[in-house]
Amino acid sequence: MKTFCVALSFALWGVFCLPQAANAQLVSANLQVSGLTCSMCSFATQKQLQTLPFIDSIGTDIEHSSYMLYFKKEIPVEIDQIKSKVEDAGFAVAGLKISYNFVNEKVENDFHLEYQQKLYHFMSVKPQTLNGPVSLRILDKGFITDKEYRKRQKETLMPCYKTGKMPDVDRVYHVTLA
Amino acid sequence: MRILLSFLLITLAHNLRAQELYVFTEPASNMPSKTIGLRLNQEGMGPYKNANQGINNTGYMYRLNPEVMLGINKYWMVHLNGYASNMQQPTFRPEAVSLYAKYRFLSVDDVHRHFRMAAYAKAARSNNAIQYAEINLNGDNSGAAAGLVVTQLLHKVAISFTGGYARSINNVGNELAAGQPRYGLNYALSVGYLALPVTYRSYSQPNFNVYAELLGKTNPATGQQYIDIAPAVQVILLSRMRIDLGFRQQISGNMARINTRSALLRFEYNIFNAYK
Repeated sequence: MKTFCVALSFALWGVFCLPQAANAQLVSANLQVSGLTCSMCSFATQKQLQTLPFIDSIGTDIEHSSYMLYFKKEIPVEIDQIKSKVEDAGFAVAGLKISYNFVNEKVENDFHLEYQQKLYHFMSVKPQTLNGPVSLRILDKGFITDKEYRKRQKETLMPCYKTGKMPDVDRVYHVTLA
Repeated sequence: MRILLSFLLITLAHNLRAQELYVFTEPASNMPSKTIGLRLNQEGMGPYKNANQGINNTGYMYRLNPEVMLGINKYWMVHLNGYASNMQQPTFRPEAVSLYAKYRFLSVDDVHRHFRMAAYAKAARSNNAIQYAEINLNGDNSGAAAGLVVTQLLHKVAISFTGGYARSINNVGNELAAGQPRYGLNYALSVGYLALPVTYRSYSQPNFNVYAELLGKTNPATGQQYIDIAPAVQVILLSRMRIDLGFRQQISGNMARINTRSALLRFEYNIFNAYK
């Protein structure tokens, strides 16, 4: 009976996507940009990213067109703004991995993590407990290649994957363990 | 020797990467938004004689062309140019202004490739005498132009096609003569490679790029046309300064032009996040 109750509560939790308070802290992100061909392009992108108020510092790997973004603790991170800045520079996000510090956070498929008024919806993960620094890959449109997005769209029935929104939530990001 | 040369070519081909900061044309990509670019373009040509077309330019000619570029947002950018030269008269004097706008309407990006399309329009006002059949909105003619740019970046090649239509009108104080063309078509095929550095380490590393472009114009009403080949080299310094050196040489054509051969030297400085 106890097992049944636990299973039922997990199922309901999954179905209704109830948010969980976060035992996590977003510390940094690894940004992969596509379309960069010269150091002037990379530099322009870095200059655009530097205007974001929540970014503390940026490390660059020009050779691989990737950026390490370190976030300020006191200002909420707006992940969509990272994408806009890359697009303002004339390029596109090929991948974004955000790094959280977790404290005993139990996750599974369709688990919702609430963090800084945003929801992070876990996809394609096995039930597990996260501890320490963990990297999550954003799976929303514009954060992965169009090809992968179309493939993943077929894998989920969740309408929030298409819209990025839920009732009473202005933004749901879809993530998987990187 | 031959083995060494083959080895060098193979090594070079392996390390070459695409580049699309073309010297004689614009790519479909835009400048970053809120960026201001300042350019000083200089065009020079030597004496040129063509007895059939009644052209006999004995002196050296020089055109100075300062340019301000503005990246408005990810879709729009504009260029404003001023021109001064001694190309249509013996003295050096201000001659023209032009405004160019480009709208990027398609961008399909993937990790090592992108495909972009843009539309452009240009308007120019010149006070020069109209002496040649070429419609040149970079100083010689008043008029307007519009066209399309398609740029494809594959891992190692950035190839771009430009096609456009140009219309000439009377210059300020100088009218088009009866036989001079009122419209023309222009097209260009551009290829660019990033030759150095082999491995990027920092923004202060100079970039060295090489380009080859085919530049053509035709005046359908008169049947005159030309095609130029235009090789160029480019150095990018501190990831914000650019120096271009290019040459144009006609490879076929019958159009009455000021010269079939010219050189271009350009200095460019970019100010990123120039305004809020």
